[in-house]
Amino acid sequence: MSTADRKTVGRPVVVSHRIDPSAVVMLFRMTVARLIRGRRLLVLMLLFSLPILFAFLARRYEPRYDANTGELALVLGLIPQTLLPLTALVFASGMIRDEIEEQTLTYLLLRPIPREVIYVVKLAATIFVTAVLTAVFTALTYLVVDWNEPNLIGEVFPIRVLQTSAAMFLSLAAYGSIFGLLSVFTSRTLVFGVGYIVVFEGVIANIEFVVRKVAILYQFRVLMIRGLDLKPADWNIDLKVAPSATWAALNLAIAALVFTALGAWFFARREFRIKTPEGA
Amino acid sequence: MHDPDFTPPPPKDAPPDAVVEFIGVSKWFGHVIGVNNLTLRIPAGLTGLLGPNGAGKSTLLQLATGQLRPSQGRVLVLGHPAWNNPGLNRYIGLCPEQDAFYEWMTGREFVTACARLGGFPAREAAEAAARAIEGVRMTENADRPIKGYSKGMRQRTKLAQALVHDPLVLFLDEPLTGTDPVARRDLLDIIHRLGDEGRSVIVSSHVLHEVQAVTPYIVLLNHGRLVAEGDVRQIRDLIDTHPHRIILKCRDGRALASKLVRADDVVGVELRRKDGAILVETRSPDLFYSRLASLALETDTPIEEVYSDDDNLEAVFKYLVNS
Repeated sequence: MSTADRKTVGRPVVVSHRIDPSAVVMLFRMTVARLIRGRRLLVLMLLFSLPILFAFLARRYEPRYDANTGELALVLGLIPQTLLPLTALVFASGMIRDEIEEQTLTYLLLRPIPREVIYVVKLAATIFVTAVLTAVFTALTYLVVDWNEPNLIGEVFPIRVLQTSAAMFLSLAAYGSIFGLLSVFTSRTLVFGVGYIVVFEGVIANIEFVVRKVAILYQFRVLMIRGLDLKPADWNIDLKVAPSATWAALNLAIAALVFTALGAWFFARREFRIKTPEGA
Repeated sequence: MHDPDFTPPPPKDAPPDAVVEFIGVSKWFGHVIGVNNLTLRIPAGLTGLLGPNGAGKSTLLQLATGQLRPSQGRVLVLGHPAWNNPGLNRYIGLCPEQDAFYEWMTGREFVTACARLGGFPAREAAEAAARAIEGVRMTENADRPIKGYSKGMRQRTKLAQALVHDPLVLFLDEPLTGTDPVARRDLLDIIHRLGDEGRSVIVSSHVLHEVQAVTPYIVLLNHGRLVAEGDVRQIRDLIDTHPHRIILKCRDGRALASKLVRADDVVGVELRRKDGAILVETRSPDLFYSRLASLALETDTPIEEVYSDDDNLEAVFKYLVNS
């Protein structure tokens, strides 16, 4: 800044609200770097190894091993029903909360980045990390489940892997936006998040009632049934009343957008008081 | 009933070129009040923000840097509302009190990241970070991980991140806390240099001599209220409205003290056990000094030493915050 500029001290300066791409990229990178550090990722990688281990054990010890059953129970069962929401919860709950608890949020709020953008970029980075983690372990699980199967190359890889990963990405975006919104309001996001997973995704998604359509798992299953040509009876889904694949995908995307917008709105208007050692 | 939108006009004798303005600002945290109906104009240049722990200094700085929204009133920095105004952040910098970092980064990575968050492209950010790091004399240690830094290095790194985007107004929240004498001297030099460069620097501290070492222009806060503001000497003048404390050292303090308590202008007399000196509180120091000699003769008590307990800022501060 030039000396002439300094003479503006005491007079109103021109305040620009432009968003610098450099800032957005840096914030994304910093959020990814923070998320992939620490025990959180390690624990989730261990959890994601469980379906791979189960598939391996089934292949080794099950005399009438069926790859389709393995896919349904592990890739389309254990992962989306348990690991997917759990991963989204663990990462999204820490997305803002970690910055508050470690008192580093100040460094972000002091930059010329609108708060809404801070929230959206952090959420995008969180969804990115969880999506990569999920996609890698989904592919590995598919590999073990369908090892030596004739359709492993050509059908499972890459078609089913990509379709499943894409549906999981949409589900993660919806989960992440819900848990991100929760984390703006409460430090007990994990508690409320587990409650949500149990009630909505564990109970409501499995009840044959219209309310199940609000469950992310229901929309994911519809996507899988229609996309992978699965039997709807496996999840008690009536395809006559279920949305089309496009609508199921749109439902997930709309949910993600709505909850992201809400989270960004509340984040921009909330105060994050930093308590100093001696008090304010 | 109080109108929350009411904005009282600035005082008539307010400095003309205020960089930070608090206009009838209050900030509550539930039932706790952080800042209480504060109207204050901080001029360009170096300003010391002084007050005991819990006085509201950090709340004031968080309000000025737009991290907190005033419960009432308005906070303006460079003429713009501070709350949730990210564009304004291009012109202000904060060295926060909390000892918090992205610990996995090196000092250089941290300052560069802050520059990029400030909108600098990669190469310019690296150059700006190098300048800021050099400015706080951290170049030698800049490529070491922050988690291995001493307190002084951490304070310098925090200062570098506040400076990296070359702000016009700089807020330093207790920048000298926990530093060793060498780091303290260096940081004071840096703060003086920033003032010489034409930046407006607001330094908060609860330690008087720290603020005195930075600037004679101080703002005194206590319990979230503005106690006094202005030049140290102007603030000294304010204490004439409060009892003046004078210490007398003599051999027979008891006799002299018994005479002193009868004087109308004397508010209090205390015979100090530790050294036998008399601590007198008077509302008319000039009158007191003028008849002191005759009083000493009257009691046949030679006075060995007379000095005011108000000669340093510490005493001024005590007077004002306790009044």
